[in-house]
Amino acid sequence: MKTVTIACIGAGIAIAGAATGFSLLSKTSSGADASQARAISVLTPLGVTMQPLGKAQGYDLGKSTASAIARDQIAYTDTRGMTLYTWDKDPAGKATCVDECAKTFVAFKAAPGAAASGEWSLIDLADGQKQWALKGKALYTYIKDVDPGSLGGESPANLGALRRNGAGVMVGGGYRGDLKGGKTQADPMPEGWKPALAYPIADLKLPAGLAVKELPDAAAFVLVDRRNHTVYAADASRAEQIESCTTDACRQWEVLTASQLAEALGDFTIVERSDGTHQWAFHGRPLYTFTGDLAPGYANGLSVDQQLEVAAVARYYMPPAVSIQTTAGQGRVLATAEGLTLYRRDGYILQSGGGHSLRRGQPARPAVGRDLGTNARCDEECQKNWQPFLAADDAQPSGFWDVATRADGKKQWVYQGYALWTYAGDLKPGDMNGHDSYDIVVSDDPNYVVNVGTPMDGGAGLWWSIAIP
Amino acid sequence: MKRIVLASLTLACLPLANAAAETRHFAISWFSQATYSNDHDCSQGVHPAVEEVYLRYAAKLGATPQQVAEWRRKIMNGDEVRDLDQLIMNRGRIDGKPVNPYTHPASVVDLSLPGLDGKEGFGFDLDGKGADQPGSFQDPETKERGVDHNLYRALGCTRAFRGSLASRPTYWAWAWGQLKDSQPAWLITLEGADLKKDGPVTVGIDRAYEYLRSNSDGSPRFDMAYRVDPDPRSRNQFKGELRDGVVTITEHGKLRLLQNPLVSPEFNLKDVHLRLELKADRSARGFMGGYTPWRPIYWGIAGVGFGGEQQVTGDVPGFYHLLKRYADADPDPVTGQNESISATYYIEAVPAFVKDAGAPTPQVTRR
Repeated sequence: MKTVTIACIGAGIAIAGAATGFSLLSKTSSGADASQARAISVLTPLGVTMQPLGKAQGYDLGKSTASAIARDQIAYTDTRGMTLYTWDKDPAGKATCVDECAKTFVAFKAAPGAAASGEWSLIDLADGQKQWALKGKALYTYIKDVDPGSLGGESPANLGALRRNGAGVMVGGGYRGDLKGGKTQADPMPEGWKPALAYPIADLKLPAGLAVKELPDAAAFVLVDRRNHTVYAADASRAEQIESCTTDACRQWEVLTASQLAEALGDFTIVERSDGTHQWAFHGRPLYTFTGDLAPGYANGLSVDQQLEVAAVARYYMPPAVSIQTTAGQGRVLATAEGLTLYRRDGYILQSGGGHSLRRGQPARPAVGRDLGTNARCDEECQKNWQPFLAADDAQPSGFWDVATRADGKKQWVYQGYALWTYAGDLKPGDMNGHDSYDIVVSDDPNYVVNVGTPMDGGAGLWWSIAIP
Repeated sequence: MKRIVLASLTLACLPLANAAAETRHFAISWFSQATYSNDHDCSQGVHPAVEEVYLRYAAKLGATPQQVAEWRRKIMNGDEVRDLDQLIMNRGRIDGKPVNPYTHPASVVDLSLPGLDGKEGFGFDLDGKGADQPGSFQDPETKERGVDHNLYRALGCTRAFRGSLASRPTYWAWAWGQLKDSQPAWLITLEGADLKKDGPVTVGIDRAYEYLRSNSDGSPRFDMAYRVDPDPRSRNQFKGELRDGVVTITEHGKLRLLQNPLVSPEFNLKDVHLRLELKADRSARGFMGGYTPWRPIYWGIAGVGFGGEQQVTGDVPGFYHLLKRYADADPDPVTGQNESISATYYIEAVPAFVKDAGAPTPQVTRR
């Protein structure tokens, strides 16, 4: 990284940049190609997945948590959703956990044909196979992790109600009196082992006042400002237009100001504007916030101006067969390549305080989705309206996307634990005519046992929800 | 020449004719079961407090009188009764084993708590049987007799559902207080030649994308803008008439609106009746009646589980037995069990601006 003294260089380039209205103050960005800057890396290669840790797996049936499940940590995981770990003793590019060690920590081997990309590389093993490595560090799974979202041998199922895990075993504990299960305390992990976390992002040099947050609407980790509001990056030409125009459309974009003493840092450079103020740029692209983003997590600027994008640090993997559509009623939703809305089937849980109808009012609970499986209790009659969103036979999991095999042998896309579906009543992009469709259970048979795949406190039922990124 | 003049006049008048048509939009700002509770409508008494109901269940489930007395003493003292809680929150029985009573209400013993037997209740004579029909009400405002409102009969003696138009039932105050700020608003659109005069009107009832907009004190805000959700599940139109400032529906069809699972996933009415009074301050208030499926009503109440049962609703499985008992329409062809119940809902609405959601978002000005 090169740091430039602002006073000297700024004066020099200001003259050259006078015609365009703004100047780049940092040598590090002077040759930056905006089109290259847009190629933000995808978090995971094919064959490597991600799982949220802790309560974000959705085991806890506490009514308040259903509407406010924090995704504090997201781990890189293998194709079964098992958390991946690195070992401090491994030198870069070598896997040394073998023999006795390998009985506890199992090498995360790559599928044949796996390809290295970005920070992901492959280590040759003695048996001719390859082991995945992240930033040169070999990756392993931990045999005491029993289900997706486990960390250091502690299952997220222990955080919530009794539940059947993916292996069909009842796990966890709960608050329903005699159904309460015994919570087991995991032994501490051996020294030197660390989970490979996709989030929070480590080792990223950030100017003061900026942070990185998950922004599901953009399927990415993005820069946020001091208020945790989404930050956007503009093409150089668009930045010039914004600077020189005074329309309401331009004023929607507020400059992410850098202090006069701030210096370039890592991928961040400084632009001097024509009024003498300084503006942060990321990968050479000037940064803004959007006045239409009223709260953290909003990304309303995405659909306003195609020349500005969220300032993404890394993006989720998205299968080519999937798109993200902006809808009038529910914001951005996952859709087929043709734009038809994708759905998940979910177990109903009451929201104390309302909020069910709000966007993200019912966040994904991967454990519930896995319980429901590819069938999602959608019988033959149900499947006249609901069709599984099928994947190609050779489709591979990556990121939050998994590929499950249906009873008929066909592959189905799974997102964050939920098998995905399309609805026959949707005819064009933006239609969401299957959203909020319920199948409720109120039986008059005193001996009827409700079984909708997820524990209920009150009303038992399943509902179809739009799938959101 | 005359033909030409006539044609010209006709063309010139077309815009005038259109301009004469009037449309008024409203956003529903209060929605609840219509109740008219008074001191004489539950001859066997209002249902006991939930703790007392729990003790009755305990006795039915085999608790000894001594145990029940001890629990009563603790409850009166404000002490914890965890063993009673465990019994109650699993008071359903299937093959003798305890099960969740809220998801398995039929497995819970019916305490046979009474329904309401008062004479007055809001609504409409849905079945046309008039005053002779046993169990029907007289509407306290219109004085119409033969009113069918068995939902009020079923729930009218439960504490959470007692109230009046001015003093709102606890359940609905609790539910609406949560829903109004998150559930997409319901919209009413009136169209007629001149809504200041009597005449035929069209009544549209739709769902918005936006939830109800409120003032800082929580009261509904007049003249806010809403977009109509084009989802066909929430589009309804009825023929009606305006007379003396009151809108009624003259062709009673079916109504379907997506709602919220806090109270019911959908609001369905058949044989829809409406009486909507247009007020001088441009707001509206009135009643909507018809037959509605009762199981979703139970399901919504059951969603609260054990915590909500104690704090808001009272005995949840008891609602199942009451609703099943008082259901008065749509018998199941096999079991004979009525699947729908006559019901009246009270609504208030504020004036609003409404537009179709299909209109594209204006493009940002580009230089």
